[in-house]
Amino acid sequence: MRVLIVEDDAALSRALAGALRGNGLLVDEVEEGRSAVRLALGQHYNVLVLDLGLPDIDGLDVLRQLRRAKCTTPVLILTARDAPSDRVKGLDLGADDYLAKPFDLGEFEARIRALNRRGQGLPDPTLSMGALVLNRSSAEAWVNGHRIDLRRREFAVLEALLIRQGKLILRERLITEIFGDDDPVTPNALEVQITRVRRKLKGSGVEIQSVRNLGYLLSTR
Amino acid sequence: VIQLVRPFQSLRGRLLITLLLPLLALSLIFGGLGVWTIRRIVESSNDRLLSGSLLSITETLGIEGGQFTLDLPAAALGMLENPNGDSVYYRVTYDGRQITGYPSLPAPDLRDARLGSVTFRYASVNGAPVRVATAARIVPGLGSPVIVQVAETLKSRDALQGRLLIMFAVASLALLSVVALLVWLAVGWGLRPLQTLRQEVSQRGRVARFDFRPLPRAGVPTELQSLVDEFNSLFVALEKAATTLERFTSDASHQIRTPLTIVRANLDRLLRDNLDAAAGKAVLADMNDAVRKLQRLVLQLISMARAESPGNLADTANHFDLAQSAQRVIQEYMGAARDAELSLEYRAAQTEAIDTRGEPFVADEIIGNLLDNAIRYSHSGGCISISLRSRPAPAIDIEDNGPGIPPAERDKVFERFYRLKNTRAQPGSGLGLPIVRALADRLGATVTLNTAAGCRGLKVTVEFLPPSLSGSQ
Repeated sequence: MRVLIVEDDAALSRALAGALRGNGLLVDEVEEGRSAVRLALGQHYNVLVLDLGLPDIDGLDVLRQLRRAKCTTPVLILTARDAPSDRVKGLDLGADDYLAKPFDLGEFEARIRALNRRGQGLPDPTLSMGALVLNRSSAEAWVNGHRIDLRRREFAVLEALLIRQGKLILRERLITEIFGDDDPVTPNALEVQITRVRRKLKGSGVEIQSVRNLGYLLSTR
Repeated sequence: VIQLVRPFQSLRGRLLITLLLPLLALSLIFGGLGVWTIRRIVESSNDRLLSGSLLSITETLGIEGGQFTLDLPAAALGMLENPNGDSVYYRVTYDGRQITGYPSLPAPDLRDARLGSVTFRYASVNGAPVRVATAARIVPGLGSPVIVQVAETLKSRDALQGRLLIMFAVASLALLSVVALLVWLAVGWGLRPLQTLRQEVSQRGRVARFDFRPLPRAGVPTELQSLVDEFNSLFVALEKAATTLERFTSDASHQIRTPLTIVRANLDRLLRDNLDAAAGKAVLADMNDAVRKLQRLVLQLISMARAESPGNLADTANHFDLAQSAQRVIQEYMGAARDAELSLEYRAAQTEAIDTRGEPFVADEIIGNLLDNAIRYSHSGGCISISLRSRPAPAIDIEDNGPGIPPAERDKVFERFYRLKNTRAQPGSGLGLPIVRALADRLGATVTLNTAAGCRGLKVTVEFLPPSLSGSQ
């Protein structure tokens, strides 16, 4: 899952990004509104975290520009203004959720996860296919009721495939969802992850099919 | 007088008392005159009847064969008959002797007995008051005049007088009541615009944010227009205050919430995530910065509140040496300047005391805030210069080599939480200069901003009050 944090206070941005990264999310940080619009329109983000007090343009303007450009990424607004009228304005402009400072870090993360699921049209945190069950909130997976041990990236691969089960996911898209821009990605890094996940799915009746140089697809045998 | 007036706090009460008391006095005077007039009218009309009766008796006096003859015509006494049952008496006297009539009627007073005219007086018969008419007539053949008296009791007169007096009193009371009612109605009518005004104002207070639009002048009586105008200018001032307060609250809230969020989020991370030593240190550094920011902000807010508390310190007769004040503050900030790798330069005739009027602790706080600002905004390796002078007025200049403030924004930086345009990551909170301005106002000092000599840094000049009042202009 890839998240863009638009926050002008570097320390706050660091704290939030650090927490999300600790949960295995890919996080980009940006301090200015204009760059935020450029970034959000240039690549796919699952969730956008938007502070309203930005140095160049107002956070609400960022939101307006994104929605006008048909960007549907779920947006969580962070703000020190918590008057009801401010919330109404933000939500009416197309924000999906609102969090007033100061907030609980756990709540912040849970809202990001919920926004991500909702953005995919899958509000249920549990994904399943055949004998495979995956809980997106707790980052756990089970085959036939037995918990399987997945590393952070392996879980991300399986989650991405399971969200679009039965459909082909392009290789490039999968890479941006799993590896950060700063992560050293070897040419076969994705293949390594796929191979590991395949091994752990053995006996579940669920398998990852691949089309070389194109992408992957999750299906039941 | 005050105690008398106090109960009449209502306009109706006041108007009633100011109108009705004189009216009551007037109607008492008129009443007195009326009573007197009524008595006169009743007396003279009844006297005329009495006199008619008397004359018709007198006409019939005669001498026949040495004997008095008196024909008492029925009509003579009958004309005095009335439904009140008044008693009528008569008496004829000659040469001091009663010839005929009622002996209980008092003998005539000779002064009353005038020929050709009738005199009237009050007397009493058997204890009952009567009106006596007396006339004298020369009867041919007699040496002295014959005196005739006719009298009647006063029942009828009293009854008539009473009726007239009651009518008069009723009419006066009716007048007073009508006036009172009219006053009551007029006050209600006159006050209706005030009612409308009151409702309008109270309506505006019912919504979440008071509606500060001016009250309409149309339809307001001339006497109230100035009141409406005053209300409207009050509204303007109130709206400005409300807007300032809202902006201040929102800005202060933003400035407090952001560092609080940083502290909370990082605390959560420290407690929950197993951070390695380096990451933990970075998190702690961020928390440290946030807490410092919060601390400074809270202290500045307190300082701001104190600086803005009412009370003018410019009136003080206190004197102090501005040079000493500056030296005290410089000593305090030497550590901070060294940490920021800045050098400090002091320029003044070292021995000269700069006599200044005001409270030295306020001056210390002003200079302290300015030095603090200068240190925060200066580029490291730079120099902050502090120069003092005593003429034309005691003043201090503090120059730094920081980014400076563009001339267009030099007024605005005195607004609380104002942030310079096109500058990022400022170390300040936006309260330093407003605090300086508020403190300076209390001392009667002026603060001006300029560009520092030779570079684009900021030069702040604070001009204090000279020691004597005569030199203050």
